[in-house]
Amino acid sequence: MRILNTSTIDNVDEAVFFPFDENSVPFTRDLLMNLQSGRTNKAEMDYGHNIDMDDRHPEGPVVTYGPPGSPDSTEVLSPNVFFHNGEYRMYYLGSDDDRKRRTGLYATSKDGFNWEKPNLGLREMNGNKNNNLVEEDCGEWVLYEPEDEKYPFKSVSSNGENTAVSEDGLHWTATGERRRVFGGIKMEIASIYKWDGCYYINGQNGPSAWTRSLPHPISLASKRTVITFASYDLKTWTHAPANSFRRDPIPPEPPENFECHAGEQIHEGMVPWNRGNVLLSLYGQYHIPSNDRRDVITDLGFAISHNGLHFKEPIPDFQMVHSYEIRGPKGGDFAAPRLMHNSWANIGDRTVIWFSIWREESSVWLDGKWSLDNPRSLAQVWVATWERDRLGFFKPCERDLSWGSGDYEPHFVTCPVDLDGKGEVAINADRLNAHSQLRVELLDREFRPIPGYSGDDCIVLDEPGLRLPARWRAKDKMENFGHPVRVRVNWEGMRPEDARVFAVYVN
Amino acid sequence: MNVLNGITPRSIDEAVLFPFDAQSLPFQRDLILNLQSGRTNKAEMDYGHNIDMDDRHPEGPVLTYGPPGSLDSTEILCPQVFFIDGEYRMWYTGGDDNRKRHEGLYATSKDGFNWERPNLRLTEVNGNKQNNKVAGPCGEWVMYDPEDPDPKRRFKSLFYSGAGAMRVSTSFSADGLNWERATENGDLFGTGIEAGNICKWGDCYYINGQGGPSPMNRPIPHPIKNASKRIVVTFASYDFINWTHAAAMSLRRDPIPPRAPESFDAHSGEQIHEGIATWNRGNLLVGLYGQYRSPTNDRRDVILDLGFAISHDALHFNEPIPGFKMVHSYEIRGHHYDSFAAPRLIQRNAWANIGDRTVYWYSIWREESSTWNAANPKSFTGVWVATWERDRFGWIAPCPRNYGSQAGEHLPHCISCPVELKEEGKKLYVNADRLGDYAELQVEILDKKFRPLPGYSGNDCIPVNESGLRQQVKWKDKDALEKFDHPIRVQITWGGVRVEDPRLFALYLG
Repeated sequence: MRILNTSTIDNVDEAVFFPFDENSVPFTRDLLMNLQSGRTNKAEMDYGHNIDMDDRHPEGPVVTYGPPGSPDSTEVLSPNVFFHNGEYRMYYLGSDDDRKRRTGLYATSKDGFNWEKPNLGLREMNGNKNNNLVEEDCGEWVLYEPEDEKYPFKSVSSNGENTAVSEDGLHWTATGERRRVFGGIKMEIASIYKWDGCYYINGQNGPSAWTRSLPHPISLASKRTVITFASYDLKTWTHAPANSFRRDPIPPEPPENFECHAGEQIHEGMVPWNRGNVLLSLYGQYHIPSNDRRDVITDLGFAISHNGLHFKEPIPDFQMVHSYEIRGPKGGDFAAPRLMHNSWANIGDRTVIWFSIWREESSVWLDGKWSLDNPRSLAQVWVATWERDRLGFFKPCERDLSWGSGDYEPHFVTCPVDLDGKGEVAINADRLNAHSQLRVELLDREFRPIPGYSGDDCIVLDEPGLRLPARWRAKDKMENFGHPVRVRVNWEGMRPEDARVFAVYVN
Repeated sequence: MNVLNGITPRSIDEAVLFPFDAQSLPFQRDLILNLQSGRTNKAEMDYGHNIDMDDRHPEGPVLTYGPPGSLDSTEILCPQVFFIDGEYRMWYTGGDDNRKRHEGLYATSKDGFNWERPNLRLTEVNGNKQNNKVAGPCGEWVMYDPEDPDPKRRFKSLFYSGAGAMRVSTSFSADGLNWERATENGDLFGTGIEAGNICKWGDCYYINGQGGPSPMNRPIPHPIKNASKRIVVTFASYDFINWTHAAAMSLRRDPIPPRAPESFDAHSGEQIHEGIATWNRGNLLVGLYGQYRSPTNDRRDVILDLGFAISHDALHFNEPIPGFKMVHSYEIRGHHYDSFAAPRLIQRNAWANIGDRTVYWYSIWREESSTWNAANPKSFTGVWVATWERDRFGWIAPCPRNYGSQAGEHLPHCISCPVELKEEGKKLYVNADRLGDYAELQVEILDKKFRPLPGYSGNDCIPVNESGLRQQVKWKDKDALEKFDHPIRVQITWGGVRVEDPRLFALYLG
């Protein structure tokens, strides 16, 4: 009998070993792991020390309000972005002049930063079809699944009322009668995704009873947690969810308070990016000192998963995208809460996420009417960017943090990888030079160096790059070993503590 | 390409699905998880409310000091217990009249509660061999490995080699009594380790233990040098001789940035003492760790309860309920029933299911200021047991109706992970309590895609309405499961007019 209680072994074309993924890189010695927040504006403050300019980052929001009368004239929210047929496609939620929200607004982009809203002529609004609305059954949460030739686009509508499918992403068909797919309960959804043949929808559990299928042990201490429902066909969903992630204390730790909106919570669940052997995810890191929701700040925290059900923060409370860094059209600082859905991509030498800002209502409802001119309304789509895949890194600790000279041996060893045939190893690393180098070696599953691929055989890496191929004296590639291998990366040189490793790629 | 970053599913004879194992029982609706602390004395205070007597629990320590002149006359520590050839065998560390510690002391028991120290006559100490010390370099950490194809390696041990601070080497034994050093290498990990426990998972050996707070056993540094605390790290080996020099970060309780350090003292704060004692239950490892807390930097102020963590790969552990104390230190009572907050419990691999009890043997690291004199009635070093009703570490039960969604048509239920049955005839059992005419459990079998299987649906199930440690589940026409050619899941649904009563402690497939 075999109990399939962990992630099944993933068959992937390329494996990415991130330093923050302790399942994929379990063994480390004399190394520190750092995460790196995304850049959200050109001029970035280095925690108050410097201003670091990066002209590759957009100046402001990449999708902003439509003109008066359009379906997104007052709010642009919740982008879902996919690369399809050579262009980026965005599905988002907009609000019109009367603040009525609609799902299925559509935009396209060739580069991910410059977006257009096509006049689709598909759905009538205010007596005409001159808008960028796709057909009505498209919900707020969209999944693009290119492997499905018939219906590559899927969506979930309001709080799990129904699901829909589409051949082209523009024309949608509901999969059934309107119903609550999770069994008599709603959920504030974050995302729909697929892992190992199963669809998952995760979102916010609680604080109120109508979305609380996993109760807090103390009724009045209920907060927002993350739960996940599963389905293999998009129609039949579990009515029992998995407890995916929580930040609020449960007994024996005392409750922070007995107010449903106050305290550390999670807003609307996880937004995962499937990297083959790991799901990288941002979540709504919700903080509020009071029970007044106008005081909420939502940064984006970072968690990972290996089964689509359970998530873990590599560094608890780390803010992968800070809300405070957003600046308004006139350059004024603004603390902005955020929302996002499935919207990650690697574009050239950048990693990009598209996110939106849930506007602070008190700042945009003025004199009894909706103000479009208020410079503080920032409910639009923005991007956070990193250098490609540089979400976190290993670097050696100072020598005296370890035991001392003789035993200082910074290195890490990955989990085993079963190669289908020949393969290559590449490293994403920075701050390499003649005095700070990396040496890559291959081990068998039992940690023994493989002849020809040992550290002594390795041609040291001494120049930084996003994808540095590992080479050995007589070999450029890995042969077909017939057994699993591990990758070991060693730091060396006079200044080993300089070098930073962001990822190892095996393909 | 396959990335083996989860555990490879292993073939096992019996699966135990505990409610605190989120991987094995992932889906739950309108249920609340409780853990249950072990009983450490007959008369147990129910959080101050009642005294609940249980005569099945031993009165006091199950192994206490030897007589003056013996190797354990002042201290008994670190029991490791294995069931071998029809008896329980314990290896432990003792302190003699001069407080010199001796590793590899040996005791045996037929029932796990009454122990004897055989006079082994194997090792000369203080001029004679009349003692219970095994021969050769048996260290503080022992492992019983009956599956090793080499009979000379059925027992394995790690011992401090003297090659440097906390540097470790290894030894093997055929019988657990006569030991030989396995390698000249006296520094297996290239660093010191304050080892906790050895375990085997799949075909790989793991040793976990305490990393930090000092540099001599710190392979994984804290980002802030002076904020370093005790964490759990794990090294791996496939032959027990060649070990990784890099360690996995297995569990930590101290904050790392951006959370603020609690202090810049090595000994104060919430930490983990000497790793995690593990019990291999086939589809998961159940573990107890040294839940260390000290309000000051004075180690005499340390209190060590035993916290609870589980793992599915022997490398990474998580607490089902953070901060929960599975064995409370404060409940230990002395020979004269004068209450005493026994401050420090020490955990090693020493678990067993004995009849209707689950038993854990542990020791007390005595408080030096009060126990220097061996005659001191308050010295509590010795081997004690914590017991539970069999496998009743925790349960799930429905929340009060107004906690949940109040959807009405959906009863509280849970669904397991998929299980691959390789043969027909497997039976399903529940460990459940508070069942009766008005509170029952209905069990159904689903396929991997959550669809009920004909003949095993909820309607076909004969509801379980009698409490018990191992109540068999039956369906109208079936007592056992057939050989399915696909993975199955188990769904359990609570029912009856008092749906909130039943407690589910475990589900067995075997």
